[in-house]
Formats: sequence, C-alpha cells, structure tokens
Amino acid sequence: MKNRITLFFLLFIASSCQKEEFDILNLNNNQISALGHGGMGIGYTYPMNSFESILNCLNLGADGTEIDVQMTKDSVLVAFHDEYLENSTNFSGQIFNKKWNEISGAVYTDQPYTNYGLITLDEIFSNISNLTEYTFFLDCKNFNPDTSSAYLNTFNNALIKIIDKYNLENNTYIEFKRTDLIRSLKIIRPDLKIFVYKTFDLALELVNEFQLQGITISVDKISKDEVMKAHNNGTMVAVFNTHSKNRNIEAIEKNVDFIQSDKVKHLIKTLK
Amino acid sequence: MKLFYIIVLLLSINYEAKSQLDSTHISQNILYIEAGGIGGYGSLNYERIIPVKKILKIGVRIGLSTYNLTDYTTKFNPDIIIPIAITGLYGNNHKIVFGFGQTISNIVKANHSNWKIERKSNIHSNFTIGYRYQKERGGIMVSCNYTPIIEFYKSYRHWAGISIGYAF
Repeated sequence: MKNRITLFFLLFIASSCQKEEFDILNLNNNQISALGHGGMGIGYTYPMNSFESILNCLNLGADGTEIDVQMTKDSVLVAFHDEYLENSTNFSGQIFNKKWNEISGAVYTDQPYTNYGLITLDEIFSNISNLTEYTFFLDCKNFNPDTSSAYLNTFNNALIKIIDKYNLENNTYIEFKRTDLIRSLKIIRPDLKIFVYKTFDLALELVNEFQLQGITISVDKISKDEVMKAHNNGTMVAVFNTHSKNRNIEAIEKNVDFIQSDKVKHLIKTLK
Repeated sequence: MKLFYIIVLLLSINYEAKSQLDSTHISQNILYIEAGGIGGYGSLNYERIIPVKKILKIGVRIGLSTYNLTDYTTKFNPDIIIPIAITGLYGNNHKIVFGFGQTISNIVKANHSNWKIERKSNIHSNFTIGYRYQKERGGIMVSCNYTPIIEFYKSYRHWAGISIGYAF
C-alpha cells in the first residue's frame, strides 16, 4: 500500500512538472511572442512602463514588451499609461500639457517606500543592449484632443525619429486607436508596422482600408474563430488583459501572434 | 537615533515596572506577520512588550520586509525594508493600539543619471492606531490598524495593515 501511495505521489509530481504542449498555428512563424505589458504588467512590484519593469521583463527572457507612449508639449515621448499623472505619480496634470523638464522629476507612487521615476522612450531604448533582438509594441496614448495636421505630424515625426534612431523599424509595432494618426503615419512612412486597437469588426475594416499589419484587442473580446478569420485575412493579432495564468493559456489556445501579458514569468515559462 | 534612545530607555525601565504589577505572568514576546502596515506590502515582526501599568503596556517592534528578492537584472539583490516602532497598548485582552516609528528602506533601482543599478537608503515616519486582541498570558494575537506613512519625510500616505501572530 505504501509503495502504491509513493508511486501515485511520484506520478502526480511528474505530471505536474510536465510542460503543456500547444499546437500553434498563426502568422508569426507559428510561434507566439511572449511580451510584457508595460514591462512586468499591472500589479507587479515595479510600476508599469518604469525602466525597472521593462528591463526586468526583457532580462527574464521575454521576446519584448509593450510600452505606453505619450508626448509632452515639447515633443518628448514619455512611457506612461494613465491620462493623468496624479493617478500613479506625485505630479498632476496631463502629459501633453507639460514640457518634459516640468515632469522629469515625477516618481511613481503605487507602493510605499519606493520612488521609481518617470522615463522617456529615448532613455529606455538607449539603455537596452541588443535592442533589435526584441519586439516592441508602442501603444500610443493620444489623450490630446488636438486633431490638427500639425499635431498629427508632430506626434508621428517624434515616433519616426526614435524608431529610425535605434533602427527599430523591423521589430517595432505601433498601436493606434485614432484613425487620423493611422492615416497621417501611412502617408509619411507607409513601411512602418501599425496595429489598430478597436472592436474586432471595426479593426478588421481599418486593417483592410489602411493595409495595416494587425489588430490589438483584449483577450476576452476575441474568439478563436475570430483570430482565425483575422489570420485568413493576413492580419496578425495581439492580445492584452492577460492578467492571470488562465488568461495566458486562453490567449495561447486562441493561436494569437503576440501576448502582452501581466503574468510575464508564467507566459515565458509556458511558451519557452 | 532619537528612537534608539527611546527604545533603550524603555527597556531599562522594564524590570522596575514589572515588579509593580500584580500579574504573575505576562507574555512579553510576540512574533507576527502583518499584511500591509508599516512594512509596506507585508512584514515579519518581533515585538517586545514592556509592562508599565496593569492596563497599559508599551511594545517595541522591529520587522523585516521586501518587495523583490532579485533586482531587475534578475540577480539576487533584495530590497530591504525595516519597520521600527514603539506602540502603546491600552486594555486587557482587547487593546487599543497607538504608536509611531521609523521605517528604513533600502531599495534597488536604476540611477537615472548613469542608468546603473544602485541601492538607495531612506527613512520614513510611520504611525499606528488600531485594535489588537491578545491575551496577557499569551497565545494568538490579531490586530487591525490604520498605519499612515510619511514617505521620505515628505508625502503622507494613507495605509492600513492587519496582523496575526503568537505571543509567548
């Protein structure tokens, strides 16, 4: 009896350690890129989009990361998620109303006793070695209501400048919600890869209209069939809101091309 | 440093105070974990109880906490957070808790000038007010506290903690 229990226990341990296998069929060479969501994701001890969070994600072995991007009044691209600085830093106001030197001292206030600082996109890229080996999704958070061509051009030119500076055109995807920015960038630099962030049907329409590379969507807002429909259309799919291990698995089983995960360690362990 | 002198002073009056109490046995040591509280997200703590009067005691507490054991390069390089506090405990089994102290933080982060990894030490003030259930003769201790923090001696943060531990 004792031997049986031991055998059962050993089998249980062995089955727990066995790595789950997935049959992945997608447009990303039948592989899913494991990306971080603003680095280590929501709820991690490093704040999203902080230097520490992004570097930690890449050093753990992720294929890359999504980074939220906003532009200051003096055209500096800053890695920051929220519309208002006061939501997660010790400063207040909106980034597009501030110059970089007015907000460069901001620190995240998510948790006590730490003071991780706000950072520019340039500072991130200039301090990552082997930059071109990673995949970056630049999630453009355009809270500025300005729709003038001057603003659209300024924002897109700031993106182009940084992508060109670090030779990131092959491994960077730009995520837009706003159609005017997509249209503007397509005119200036049609070679850059753009993902659109909308509901599935609308996103697919825009992909076809502007010849975009893909769609970005919450994992719970897209089905496996819709992923297949997008793939049949030649459209890649990136998902976010994978804030649990189950959501990571759900995204993998849907055969998406990119997962921007809040559970980075689990995703890396599962996919690699 | 002032806090250190206060702790030494309190410990030195311990024996004199004990002799004035009726109680033959009061558990003077408590080991407990706190979720939230003055250690940040959570801490492991030791507290020494110093009897002053039958209904009033003073607790001297030290803890240990961390956010990350490895730094962002994935090397073992833990953040260290040490909450220290003096608390007044008023009551018998059911006690009102009030106290203050300092938290020493030693956090690993990126230096924004040279982008190298560095450790930064800082001191912060902490305060505690709340409720504790703990029998005089020992056993389970539970408490629930409002624990505001003045971080870097600059910014006030509302914070709270719950604790469970064992007095012996």
